[in-house]
Amino acid sequence: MIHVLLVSREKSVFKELETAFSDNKITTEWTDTAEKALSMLSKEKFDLFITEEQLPDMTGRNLIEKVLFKNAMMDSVVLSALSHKDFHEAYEGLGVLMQFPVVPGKEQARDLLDHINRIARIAGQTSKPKGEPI
Amino acid sequence: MKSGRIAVPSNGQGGLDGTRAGHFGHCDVFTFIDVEDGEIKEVSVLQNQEHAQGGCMVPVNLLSDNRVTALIVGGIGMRPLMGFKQVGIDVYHDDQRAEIEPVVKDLIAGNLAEITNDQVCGGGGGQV
Repeated sequence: MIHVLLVSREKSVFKELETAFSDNKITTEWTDTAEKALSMLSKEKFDLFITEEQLPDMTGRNLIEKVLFKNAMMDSVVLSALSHKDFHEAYEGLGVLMQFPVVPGKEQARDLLDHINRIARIAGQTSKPKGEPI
Repeated sequence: MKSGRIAVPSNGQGGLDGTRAGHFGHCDVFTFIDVEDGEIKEVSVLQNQEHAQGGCMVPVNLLSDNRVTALIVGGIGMRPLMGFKQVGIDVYHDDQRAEIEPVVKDLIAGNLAEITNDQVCGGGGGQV
Protein backbone atom coordinates (compact mmCIF):
# COMPACT_ATOMS: atom_id res chain seq x y z
CA MET A 1 0.00 0.00 0.00
CA ILE A 2 1.35 3.41 -1.01
CA HIS A 3 0.24 6.53 0.82
CA VAL A 4 0.67 9.84 -1.01
CA LEU A 5 0.38 13.45 0.13
CA LEU A 6 -0.97 15.79 -2.54
CA VAL A 7 -0.15 19.49 -2.22
CA SER A 8 -1.80 22.11 -4.41
CA ARG A 9 -3.71 25.37 -4.24
CA GLU A 10 -6.79 23.75 -5.73
CA LYS A 11 -7.74 20.17 -4.95
CA SER A 12 -9.33 19.78 -8.36
CA VAL A 13 -5.97 19.46 -10.17
CA PHE A 14 -5.61 16.04 -8.59
CA LYS A 15 -9.11 14.78 -9.35
CA GLU A 16 -8.14 12.42 -12.18
CA LEU A 17 -4.97 11.30 -10.49
CA GLU A 18 -6.79 10.48 -7.25
CA THR A 19 -9.25 8.32 -9.16
CA ALA A 20 -6.42 6.50 -10.90
CA PHE A 21 -4.56 6.08 -7.63
CA SER A 22 -7.67 4.73 -5.97
CA ASP A 23 -8.03 2.14 -8.74
CA ASN A 24 -4.49 1.00 -7.88
CA LYS A 25 -5.08 0.92 -4.13
CA ILE A 26 -2.95 4.01 -3.56
CA THR A 27 -4.33 6.16 -0.77
CA THR A 28 -4.04 9.94 -0.74
CA GLU A 29 -4.46 12.95 1.48
CA TRP A 30 -4.55 16.53 0.24
CA THR A 31 -3.50 19.87 1.63
CA ASP A 32 -3.15 23.35 0.18
CA THR A 33 -0.06 24.88 1.77
CA ALA A 34 3.56 23.92 2.24
CA GLU A 35 3.42 24.55 5.97
CA LYS A 36 0.47 22.20 6.37
CA ALA A 37 2.28 19.66 4.19
CA LEU A 38 5.37 19.86 6.39
CA SER A 39 3.24 19.36 9.46
CA MET A 40 1.46 16.35 7.96
CA LEU A 41 4.73 14.80 6.77
CA SER A 42 6.15 15.16 10.27
CA LYS A 43 3.22 13.42 11.91
CA GLU A 44 2.08 10.79 9.44
CA LYS A 45 3.74 8.12 7.37
CA PHE A 46 3.69 8.96 3.67
CA ASP A 47 5.63 7.21 0.91
CA LEU A 48 5.89 10.32 -1.24
CA PHE A 49 4.39 13.71 -1.86
CA ILE A 50 3.31 15.44 -5.05
CA THR A 51 3.42 19.21 -5.18
CA GLU A 52 2.66 22.08 -7.48
CA GLU A 53 5.54 24.36 -8.42
CA GLN A 54 3.95 27.33 -6.68
CA LEU A 55 2.12 27.06 -3.39
CA PRO A 56 0.57 29.95 -1.45
CA ASP A 57 3.38 30.12 1.11
CA MET A 58 6.46 28.92 -0.79
CA THR A 59 7.57 27.25 -3.98
CA GLY A 60 7.39 23.53 -4.47
CA ARG A 61 11.17 23.53 -4.70
CA ASN A 62 11.45 25.16 -1.28
CA LEU A 63 9.06 22.60 0.14
CA ILE A 64 11.16 19.75 -1.26
CA GLU A 65 14.33 21.26 0.21
CA LYS A 66 12.73 21.62 3.64
CA VAL A 67 11.56 18.01 3.55
CA LEU A 68 14.97 16.73 2.46
CA PHE A 69 16.73 18.51 5.31
CA LYS A 70 14.65 16.40 7.67
CA ASN A 71 14.22 13.17 5.71
CA ALA A 72 16.13 12.64 2.47
CA MET A 73 14.38 9.29 2.01
CA MET A 74 11.09 11.03 1.21
CA ASP A 75 10.32 10.92 -2.50
CA SER A 76 8.70 13.79 -4.37
CA VAL A 77 6.95 14.47 -7.67
CA VAL A 78 6.36 17.95 -9.12
CA LEU A 79 3.51 19.22 -11.28
CA SER A 80 5.19 21.44 -13.82
CA ALA A 81 4.70 22.86 -17.30
CA LEU A 82 8.44 23.38 -17.77
CA SER A 83 10.21 21.71 -20.66
CA HIS A 84 12.17 18.61 -19.76
CA LYS A 85 15.43 20.56 -20.02
CA ASP A 86 14.22 23.48 -17.92
CA PHE A 87 12.75 21.15 -15.34
CA HIS A 88 16.05 19.34 -15.03
CA GLU A 89 17.83 22.65 -14.57
CA ALA A 90 15.36 23.84 -11.96
CA TYR A 91 15.19 20.69 -9.86
CA GLU A 92 18.45 18.81 -10.41
CA GLY A 93 20.08 17.57 -7.29
CA LEU A 94 16.79 17.31 -5.43
CA GLY A 95 16.19 13.74 -6.56
CA VAL A 96 12.66 14.39 -7.80
CA LEU A 97 11.14 11.10 -8.91
CA MET A 98 9.14 12.47 -11.83
CA GLN A 99 7.74 15.55 -13.48
CA PHE A 100 3.98 15.45 -13.94
CA PRO A 101 1.87 17.76 -16.10
CA VAL A 102 0.01 20.46 -14.19
CA VAL A 103 -3.14 18.32 -14.28
CA PRO A 104 -1.99 14.71 -14.00
CA GLY A 105 -4.17 11.71 -14.81
CA LYS A 106 -4.31 7.99 -15.32
CA GLU A 107 -1.16 7.79 -17.47
CA GLN A 108 0.94 9.52 -14.82
CA ALA A 109 -0.37 7.21 -12.11
CA ARG A 110 0.73 4.21 -14.15
CA ASP A 111 4.12 5.77 -14.94
CA LEU A 112 4.71 6.56 -11.29
CA LEU A 113 3.97 3.01 -10.22
CA ASP A 114 6.29 1.65 -12.91
CA HIS A 115 9.05 4.02 -11.80
CA ILE A 116 8.67 3.20 -8.11
CA ASN A 117 8.80 -0.51 -8.93
CA ARG A 118 11.91 0.01 -11.05
CA ILE A 119 13.74 1.78 -8.24
CA ALA A 120 12.64 -0.90 -5.79
CA ARG A 121 14.09 -3.55 -8.11
CA ILE A 122 17.39 -1.66 -8.34
CA ALA A 123 17.55 -1.21 -4.60
CA GLY A 124 16.97 -4.94 -4.15
CA GLN A 125 18.25 -6.17 -0.85
CA THR A 126 19.76 -2.85 0.12
CA SER A 127 16.49 -0.96 0.28
CA LYS A 128 15.48 0.28 3.67
CA PRO A 129 12.10 1.22 5.05
CA LYS A 130 11.08 4.69 3.95
CA GLY A 131 8.26 7.07 4.42
CA GLU A 132 8.71 7.48 8.14
CA PRO A 133 7.48 10.80 9.48
CA ILE A 134 10.03 13.57 8.95
CA MET B 1 40.88 10.36 9.89
CA LYS B 2 42.04 7.67 12.27
CA SER B 3 39.82 4.78 11.31
CA GLY B 4 36.82 3.91 9.19
CA ARG B 5 35.91 2.99 5.64
CA ILE B 6 36.32 5.55 2.87
CA ALA B 7 34.32 5.19 -0.35
CA VAL B 8 35.42 6.79 -3.61
CA PRO B 9 33.15 6.69 -6.70
CA SER B 10 35.47 5.26 -9.33
CA ASN B 11 35.81 4.61 -13.05
CA GLY B 12 36.30 1.16 -14.54
CA GLN B 13 37.81 -1.37 -12.15
CA GLY B 14 38.50 1.16 -9.41
CA GLY B 15 41.27 0.54 -6.89
CA LEU B 16 43.67 2.87 -5.14
CA ASP B 17 45.58 3.58 -8.36
CA GLY B 18 42.38 4.18 -10.32
CA THR B 19 40.52 7.35 -11.21
CA ARG B 20 37.51 9.00 -9.66
CA ALA B 21 34.10 9.20 -11.31
CA GLY B 22 32.58 12.66 -11.65
CA HIS B 23 29.05 11.62 -10.73
CA PHE B 24 28.82 9.27 -7.78
CA GLY B 25 25.40 7.94 -8.78
CA HIS B 26 26.67 6.91 -12.22
CA CYS B 27 30.08 5.58 -11.21
CA ASP B 28 31.12 2.09 -12.33
CA VAL B 29 32.33 0.95 -8.91
CA PHE B 30 33.02 2.26 -5.44
CA THR B 31 36.57 1.85 -4.20
CA PHE B 32 36.58 1.14 -0.46
CA ILE B 33 39.62 2.01 1.61
CA ASP B 34 39.68 0.64 5.14
CA VAL B 35 41.71 2.78 7.51
CA GLU B 36 43.03 1.77 10.92
CA ASP B 37 45.17 3.98 13.13
CA GLY B 38 45.63 6.39 10.27
CA GLU B 39 46.98 3.68 7.91
CA ILE B 40 45.43 2.07 4.86
CA LYS B 41 44.75 -1.55 5.81
CA GLU B 42 42.71 -2.86 2.91
CA VAL B 43 41.34 -1.77 -0.45
CA SER B 44 38.29 -3.37 -2.01
CA VAL B 45 35.79 -2.60 -4.74
CA LEU B 46 32.00 -2.74 -4.86
CA GLN B 47 29.98 -2.65 -8.06
CA ASN B 48 27.58 0.28 -8.23
CA GLN B 49 23.91 -0.29 -8.96
CA GLU B 50 21.85 1.00 -11.86
CA HIS B 51 20.90 4.64 -11.61
CA ALA B 52 17.32 5.83 -12.05
CA GLN B 53 15.87 9.34 -11.86
CA GLY B 54 15.02 10.04 -8.25
CA GLY B 55 16.83 6.90 -7.15
CA CYS B 56 19.47 8.88 -5.26
CA MET B 57 18.89 6.92 -2.10
CA VAL B 58 19.96 3.63 -3.66
CA PRO B 59 23.70 4.39 -3.37
CA VAL B 60 23.12 5.99 0.04
CA ASN B 61 21.69 2.75 1.35
CA LEU B 62 24.27 0.69 -0.52
CA LEU B 63 27.19 2.51 1.12
CA SER B 64 25.51 2.59 4.51
CA ASP B 65 24.92 -1.16 4.36
CA ASN B 66 28.59 -1.61 3.53
CA ARG B 67 29.72 0.26 6.66
CA VAL B 68 31.12 3.27 4.83
CA THR B 69 31.92 6.18 7.16
CA ALA B 70 33.31 8.72 4.69
CA LEU B 71 32.71 9.49 1.03
CA ILE B 72 34.83 11.64 -1.29
CA VAL B 73 32.97 13.32 -4.15
CA GLY B 74 33.67 15.84 -6.87
CA GLY B 75 30.08 17.00 -6.73
CA ILE B 76 26.80 15.86 -5.24
CA GLY B 77 23.15 16.88 -5.25
CA MET B 78 21.32 18.10 -2.19
CA ARG B 79 19.18 15.02 -1.76
CA PRO B 80 21.98 12.45 -1.68
CA LEU B 81 24.08 14.78 0.48
CA MET B 82 21.28 15.02 3.02
CA GLY B 83 20.83 11.26 2.75
CA PHE B 84 24.48 10.53 3.48
CA LYS B 85 24.47 12.93 6.42
CA GLN B 86 21.33 11.36 7.81
CA VAL B 87 22.80 7.85 7.72
CA GLY B 88 26.02 9.09 9.34
CA ILE B 89 28.36 9.15 6.35
CA ASP B 90 30.63 12.22 6.21
CA VAL B 91 30.97 13.64 2.69
CA TYR B 92 34.26 15.23 1.62
CA HIS B 93 34.89 17.32 -1.45
CA ASP B 94 37.66 17.56 -4.03
CA ASP B 95 36.83 18.67 -7.55
CA GLN B 96 40.39 19.13 -8.76
CA ARG B 97 42.13 15.77 -8.84
CA ALA B 98 41.07 12.75 -10.87
CA GLU B 99 43.30 10.25 -9.07
CA ILE B 100 42.00 8.30 -6.09
CA GLU B 101 45.12 7.84 -4.01
CA PRO B 102 46.11 11.47 -3.36
CA VAL B 103 42.65 12.51 -2.21
CA VAL B 104 42.41 9.46 0.06
CA LYS B 105 45.76 10.29 1.61
CA ASP B 106 44.66 13.89 2.09
CA LEU B 107 41.50 12.74 3.83
CA ILE B 108 43.43 10.45 6.16
CA ALA B 109 45.83 13.30 6.92
CA GLY B 110 42.95 15.61 7.70
CA ASN B 111 43.56 17.82 4.70
CA LEU B 112 40.26 17.39 2.89
CA ALA B 113 37.26 19.55 3.68
CA GLU B 114 33.74 18.30 4.25
CA ILE B 115 31.34 19.49 1.59
CA THR B 116 28.99 22.23 2.72
CA ASN B 117 25.30 22.55 1.90
CA ASP B 118 25.96 25.52 -0.37
CA GLN B 119 28.41 23.47 -2.46
CA VAL B 120 25.76 21.07 -3.69
CA CYS B 121 25.32 20.79 -7.40
CA GLY B 122 22.86 19.31 -9.82
CA GLY B 123 22.39 15.85 -11.22
CA GLY B 124 25.34 16.20 -13.56
CA GLY B 125 27.70 16.29 -10.62
CA GLY B 126 31.02 18.05 -10.45
CA GLN B 127 33.99 17.19 -12.53
CA VAL B 128 37.07 15.70 -10.95
